[in-house]
Amino acid sequence: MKVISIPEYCLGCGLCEIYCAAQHDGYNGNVLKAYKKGKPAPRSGLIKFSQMSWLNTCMHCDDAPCLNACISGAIKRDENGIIYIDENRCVKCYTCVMVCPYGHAQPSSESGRIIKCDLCRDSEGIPACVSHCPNAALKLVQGGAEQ
Amino acid sequence: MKYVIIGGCIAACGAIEGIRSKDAKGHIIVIDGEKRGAYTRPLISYYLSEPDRYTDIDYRSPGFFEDHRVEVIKARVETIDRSRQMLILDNGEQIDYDRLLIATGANPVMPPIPGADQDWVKPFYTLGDAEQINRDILSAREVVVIGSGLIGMKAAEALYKRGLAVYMVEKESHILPRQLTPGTAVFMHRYLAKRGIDIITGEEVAVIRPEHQVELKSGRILSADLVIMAVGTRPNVELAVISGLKVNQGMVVDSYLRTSDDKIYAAGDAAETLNIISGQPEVMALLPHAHREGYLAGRNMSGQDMRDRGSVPMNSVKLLGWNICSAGAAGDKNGELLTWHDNDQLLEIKVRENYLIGYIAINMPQVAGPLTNAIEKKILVAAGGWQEFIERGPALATIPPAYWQELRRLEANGSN
Amino acid sequence: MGAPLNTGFQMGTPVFKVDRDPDRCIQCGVCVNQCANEVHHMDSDSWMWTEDEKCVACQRCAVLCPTQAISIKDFPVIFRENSHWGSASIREIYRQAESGGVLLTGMGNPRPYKNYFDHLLLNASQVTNPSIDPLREPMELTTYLGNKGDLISQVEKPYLKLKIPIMFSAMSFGSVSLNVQKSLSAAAEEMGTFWNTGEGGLHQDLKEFGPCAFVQVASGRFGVHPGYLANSAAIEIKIGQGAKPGIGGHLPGEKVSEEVSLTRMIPAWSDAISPAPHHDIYSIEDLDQLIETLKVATGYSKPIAVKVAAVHNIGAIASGIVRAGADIVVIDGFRGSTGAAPMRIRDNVGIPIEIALAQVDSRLRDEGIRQQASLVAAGGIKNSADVIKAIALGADAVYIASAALVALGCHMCQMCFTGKCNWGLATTNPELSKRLNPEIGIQRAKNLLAAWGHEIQEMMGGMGINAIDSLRGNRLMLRGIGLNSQELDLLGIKSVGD
Repeated sequence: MKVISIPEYCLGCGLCEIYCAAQHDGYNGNVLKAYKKGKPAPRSGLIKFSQMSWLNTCMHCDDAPCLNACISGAIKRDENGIIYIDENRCVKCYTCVMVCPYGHAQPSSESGRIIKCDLCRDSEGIPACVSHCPNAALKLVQGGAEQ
Repeated sequence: MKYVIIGGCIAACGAIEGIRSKDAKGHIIVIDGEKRGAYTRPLISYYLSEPDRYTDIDYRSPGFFEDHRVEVIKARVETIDRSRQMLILDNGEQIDYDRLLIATGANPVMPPIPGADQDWVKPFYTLGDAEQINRDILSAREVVVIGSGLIGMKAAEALYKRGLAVYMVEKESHILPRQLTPGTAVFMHRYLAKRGIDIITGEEVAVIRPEHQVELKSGRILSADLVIMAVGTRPNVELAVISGLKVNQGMVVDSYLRTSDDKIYAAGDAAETLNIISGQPEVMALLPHAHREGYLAGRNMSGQDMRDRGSVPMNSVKLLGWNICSAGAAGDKNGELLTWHDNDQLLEIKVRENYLIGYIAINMPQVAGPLTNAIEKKILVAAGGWQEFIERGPALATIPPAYWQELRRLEANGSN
Repeated sequence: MGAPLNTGFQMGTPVFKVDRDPDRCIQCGVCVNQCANEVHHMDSDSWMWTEDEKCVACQRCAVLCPTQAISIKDFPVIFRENSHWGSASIREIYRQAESGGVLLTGMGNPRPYKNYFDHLLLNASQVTNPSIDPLREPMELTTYLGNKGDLISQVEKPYLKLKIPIMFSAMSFGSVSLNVQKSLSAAAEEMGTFWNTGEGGLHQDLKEFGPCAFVQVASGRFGVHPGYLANSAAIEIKIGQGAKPGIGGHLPGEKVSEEVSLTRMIPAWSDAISPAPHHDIYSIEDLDQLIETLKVATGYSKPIAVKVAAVHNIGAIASGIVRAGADIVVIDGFRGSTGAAPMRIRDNVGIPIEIALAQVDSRLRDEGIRQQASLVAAGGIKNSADVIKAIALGADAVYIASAALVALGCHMCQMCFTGKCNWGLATTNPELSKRLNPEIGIQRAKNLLAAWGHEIQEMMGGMGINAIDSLRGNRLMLRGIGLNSQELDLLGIKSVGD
């Protein structure tokens, strides 16, 4: 499974990032709380060119470079094929960042540890970015990218 | 099919995953001489800096071998009888194989410096080394690290964090000579010196005196309770040599990771693989490469044809809070060097005929992944594209659009 | 060209006020990046500020704001209370004193004229005849459009089959985005009804939806060629439009992009002028010729519709149209919408569709030619009850356009003519038109038709009617409330209680 962006219909509004942050770190989807009281950390970032934008999210590759390169075993794959990170094990070496062709895995500005898309595996339902995209420019599809 | 893997580290884990992705039933045996299973070598410096915190430095979960139905034999291989496809172990046991992978890794180089054989002069390569040093430093105050490569740097950092006074001696003109260019090295050097690591470049150690003194060729004398020898590693090819396999610097393999014997494969720090930039086979002793080579070798051993398209040297390392990502050949003579700098951040990229061939990124990992991939996949960018990337300020959004287009195209073709 | 005339400072205060709750605003910038009118601003230090005078109350920011921090309010009135000189009248004069131009507007007539649909009530069966449960009994919504009258000649006339008596009215590519047309055309095809190209031709991407399209032939003849006529369900000659009867249209050159130019078959970046009249129609006989020409051009294979605005003497006009050979007569009431029209025309010309429809239906019946053509009512249909009432007044089917746009996201700000539609509907700016993903648009348009279909079945069942054809012109099912005797007479219905 992975979320793909359809740049043709991406508005560049950035709601995906906002709801992503609110879905993680225990904010339970509460945007106001995440942004007013907490330290929101979107896992996926919007990339904006002059005429085009898209959500730069994890492809949950079949042969994932980040997973293979992680020196501390922090990056893992779960039984559904979702590549996620156990942030407590991250030693901030950023080898995963160096090998991700998408530039997806990124250090958290707060802790310096890597944060990445986990397809909201700890929540019910489809990932927050997909369910809150106002223009169906994000889709949850089966299969990971072949690296 | 019976697979035997010599070595139990990163490449071995990759090979097991590779084999099992195709062959669920085949018998896999790992012969591992190291007491401690597959741990992550780069983590030993983390262990040394905070031994209580980094107790678990396994590369894969504890049940990895069992989950993948792998038999582990704790022994060393004496020789390979290639004509009988048989291994002779140091415990006298003989084991036959259909396909063999040699993933014996590398060993630290101990240079012939007078006095280097004293027991307070230590390599820093295995977890055992780190555990020993951890005990030794309880009574130590000053340490000299010889060599400023990645191992030396990480050792220096760990010891610095443990409160020791750290001197570092590098015979080349700048630190991290294999990773950095002179410009980026100066940038890093200033930072580390400011934090309090005493780095001496362009100097060689003449002798290590028993009275706990390290004398440099210039005559300068450093006092040391402990010396860490970190001048490099050398592929462990002894077994390959005595078994008559073709060996250069490391073991010679073709693009399917096969050695000169088509039943025998090699991967990891002991093997030479294609450096895309130089076009030559090289030993690139790096963890991501070890896994990838092991994985490809495993797939090929189980009957698939997966070519290793080669790679480039790459590294990401954190030193006292500063991160360096580098890949390719930023220091190559040919090409245009472009620099971007802002406060703590520095980026150098090397562009040759509109191809990116190398970069060094200090404190800006955010662009590293696409840059590494642009080098590895040889993604062509319109003239001036990389110049614009630097001029506009390096970020994911300023990476030349051709890069993203090519990435999407490769993704669509399923051949990324 | 001289220097711009100095008209002093702008007299008007903002019409709307953007209220941002600082306790809820998270400085995410969604409002900033979504407002094509550039109302919202965020400085590099995250300071948020607004230009209220640019706000058109389209609600895009308020809807997308993830914390509901934004509400759009009326700007506090500063004009002294005056029942004759309302603030709108005063502002309009300011605008004209500054610009010297005709006031432009979009969408339909917003004035508080009497809405006759809202003065009609439906019947329901009680005791003397049974009502029908649409969940248990078959309930037929299918209807046919075309000439059903010429039984003697035994020549089969072309007709259209509608699975639901609601079609999407003309909105040209150029006045609306291609994504709007993609949404409505696919929804029409899937729901078994029809859409209308408007007068801007058929975009090449929509060729596959030609067979479920009314293709328009209007006074500008944009995009009309043999292939266009052949790839259609029906041809509609547009004489007039409810929002702007009697005047032509003007698509400014800036909107005639390469795409629009190709589709309309006119030079790019040149003004597209639709003349007020067709220059080949100056009498009912001329219309007869055009209808015949189009029939010949398509081998008598397609129904020909003629669309007129509802105006005085509409009964006689419709009679002439039917006698000129039209198979479908479309009457567009004075509440019909537009992408751009002079405000005075939109607000002051034409008559209500309800009266016009009743008049036309009665007139055609009286003349014995009602069966020669189908009647389509357009202009101001807001819900399924309006559809039922229109059919009971005599329509075979209705056209909806505003309702369809609302389904796609229109918030009725009436600023279509600016090309800055924040909902990506009335614009050809690619940055804005991408805001309507047809995948969503198709589903929403289909849902609207499906929902109205269910409601129509429900209301029909209540009346004891199980086929929409039995409701057509069945004015006994209607009663007027709050109408005077002349209005009841014109509508051909009785009063409540009668």
